[in-house]
Amino acid sequence: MGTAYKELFKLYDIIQNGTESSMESFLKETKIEINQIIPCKGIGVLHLAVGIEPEEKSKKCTELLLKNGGDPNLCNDDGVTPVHIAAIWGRVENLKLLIGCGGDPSQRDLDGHSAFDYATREEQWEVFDYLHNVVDVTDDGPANKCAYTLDLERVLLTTDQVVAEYGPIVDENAQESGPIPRKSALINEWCEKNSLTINKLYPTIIGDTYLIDDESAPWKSTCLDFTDNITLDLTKDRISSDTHTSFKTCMSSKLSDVQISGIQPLEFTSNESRQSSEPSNVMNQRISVYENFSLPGSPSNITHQNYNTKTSLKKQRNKNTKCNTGTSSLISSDCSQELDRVLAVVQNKTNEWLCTTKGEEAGNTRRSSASSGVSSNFSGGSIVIANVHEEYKYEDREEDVVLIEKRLLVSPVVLPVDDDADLFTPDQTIVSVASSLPASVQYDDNTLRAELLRLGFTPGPIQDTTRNLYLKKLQALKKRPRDDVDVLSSNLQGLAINRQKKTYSIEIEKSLRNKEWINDLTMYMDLENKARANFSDNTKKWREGTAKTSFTYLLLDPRLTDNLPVKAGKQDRHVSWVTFVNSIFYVGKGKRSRPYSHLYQALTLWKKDFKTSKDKKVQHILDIWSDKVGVVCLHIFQNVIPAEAYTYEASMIDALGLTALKNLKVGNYYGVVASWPLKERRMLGLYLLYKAMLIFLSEGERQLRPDDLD
Amino acid sequence: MGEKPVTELAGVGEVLGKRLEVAGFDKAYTVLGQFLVLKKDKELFQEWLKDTCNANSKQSADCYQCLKDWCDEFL
Repeated sequence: MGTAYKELFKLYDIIQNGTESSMESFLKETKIEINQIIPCKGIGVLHLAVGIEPEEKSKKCTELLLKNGGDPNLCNDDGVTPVHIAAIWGRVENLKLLIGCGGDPSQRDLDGHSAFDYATREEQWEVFDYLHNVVDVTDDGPANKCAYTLDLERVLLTTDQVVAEYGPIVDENAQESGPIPRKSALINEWCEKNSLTINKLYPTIIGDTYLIDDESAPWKSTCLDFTDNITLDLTKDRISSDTHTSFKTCMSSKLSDVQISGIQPLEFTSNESRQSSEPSNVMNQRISVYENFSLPGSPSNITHQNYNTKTSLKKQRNKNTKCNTGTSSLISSDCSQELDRVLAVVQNKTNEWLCTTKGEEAGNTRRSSASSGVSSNFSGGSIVIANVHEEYKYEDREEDVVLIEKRLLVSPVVLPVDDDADLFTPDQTIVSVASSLPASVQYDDNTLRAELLRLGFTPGPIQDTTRNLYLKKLQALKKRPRDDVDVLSSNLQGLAINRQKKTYSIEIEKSLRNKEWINDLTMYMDLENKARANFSDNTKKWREGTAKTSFTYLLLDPRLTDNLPVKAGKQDRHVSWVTFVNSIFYVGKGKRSRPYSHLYQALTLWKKDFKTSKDKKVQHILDIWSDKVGVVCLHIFQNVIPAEAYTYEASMIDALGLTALKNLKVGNYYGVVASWPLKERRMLGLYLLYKAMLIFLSEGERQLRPDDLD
Repeated sequence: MGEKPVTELAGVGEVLGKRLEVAGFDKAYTVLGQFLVLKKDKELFQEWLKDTCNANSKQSADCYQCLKDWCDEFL
């Protein structure tokens, strides 16, 4: 014992007089229990580190000690914890770390003072403000304005690899023209339109997809007036919006694992206009997608979209992205006449080539692929289903927080692609071969082998007698959405993810075992209506007022959801439910002014390279981020009064059971729900969770991660 | 194995034997060859047998087992 104290004294000495590096090496070499109160001094080393001068050193020392397992709630003989000391000395940075590591700011010392009291007494208002934000949420009022910004950073089209990336450019010219839908709305809309084009009935396989990178080709646009034509033609009932999307990068060499469908005519036109040294070098990028196939409800609905974009290099010209809905079949045929060239899939014999202009500096490319009929043999071109990700940058300047929100849109986008070996191809040409199985013409043996290997299957010799078998095998592997691969990877991850069986409340357990419950929800709905009606009573005095600025949120583990919204359409609702329930690891209540404040603590630690925290929730978030994915944050039941949000939170926590979550405590019930028996409260929670899942499925997955995570 | 005809294989009777012969698999060892080329994969082999001679799953499973046993014994 005596020797242990000796080491501790040494450490104490180093913290007081030595440098950070000497302390670091000392901690590395000597194994000591640092969470002890040193006799005679009456404090622990962390107490000391938090309070020493200068502040920089104090910050470093605190960080080091916490990383080495320092306990932020260690009481000395007077009940004072490092959190108290940080509050007294106004060390906000230290305080953030301490609280992030599980420090409790409401803990009182033996004199009955909490960190709050000390902050007030010492007039450390910065600390006070911070604590206020973390601990007390009573300052939620309508006066609180948005403390954050959320901007569209980029749009990613991916299949297995990134296909294309778009970023917005601010264009002041276009902002003036009338009501403009939000950029994201535009993209969403675009994707919604596209979701209709997905055809799950006739999957075929794309073999090779290449992307040709050729930025040097000079292009002269001849289609500006042509674009105008379209706009005029469609003024009647088009949804028009101006967005500015700059084409940033384009990469990928080989795409695979794509399922495609071939029922709808699609068009993907890309003209890029670029203005560099030569003023006439204009590239105009246009993507147009239209569909014309029989879906109930929209038999003749045609979507036509143009994305006219420029690169950020050039000066502002009017850039419009138009999203037109209407009767545009006429236009599309116009396009074909006006456009100079039609490039098409070479390997698909039904495609036609029309090269009208091949000037050195002039040329528009139009790649079109259209397919029709029910057979998966396209009449021209091939299509890839790509996933669209939008990335938003969430910024809270006051708190110095930057988070990237990645929204995985529910509906994959069908990308038409063509084989285009032409040198004049603009930088983003995707080449592909489509095959309708079991026709194996397009699949050469090597590709087939590579594909099978990639899906985790080792084929034998591929010969005439075996090729068909392997093609079938490949199809089967692709149809099953990567089950085997997932099992493998989840086995690997199994160590990281806590796969121990969680136990929930009886109500949830029942619902997990019996899939019939989804069919009869009336009982649950009654409960919810009762609760809701009670909270809409404005005359009552609710905790934190009646401003409808609160919401409840769930934190989900993306390693378990595995982009559930996309898969949900193909699988049983009950399967989705099980996955959904299993992936929830935190239930909380938030307010609108800072929707992601529950991630701030974790982010503070992340920035300092912490990998562990005493706080279970923060620890879990750090784990998820360490695995290079973002936390899925599901905001549900928006715009309710705080008491209602608290009640919903509490009922969901009770339904899931505290042990299955990273929540520290059960919530509080308010209003009429508080008087319900526990069983009914849990049933309410269960139903709310079910509703949450529906929201999740329709909204798509949103992953939040720090901006420095690759 | 020797020079036995294809009908000697378990699960392959007269009808399937005829079909296999038409496809060029007249001797049991040619089927064995295919079995080996498919790396003794049950699923693929059964699928192949189904494609080639319209074998049902019982027949193809028998045939697979028969060849598997032979291989385990003699290879």
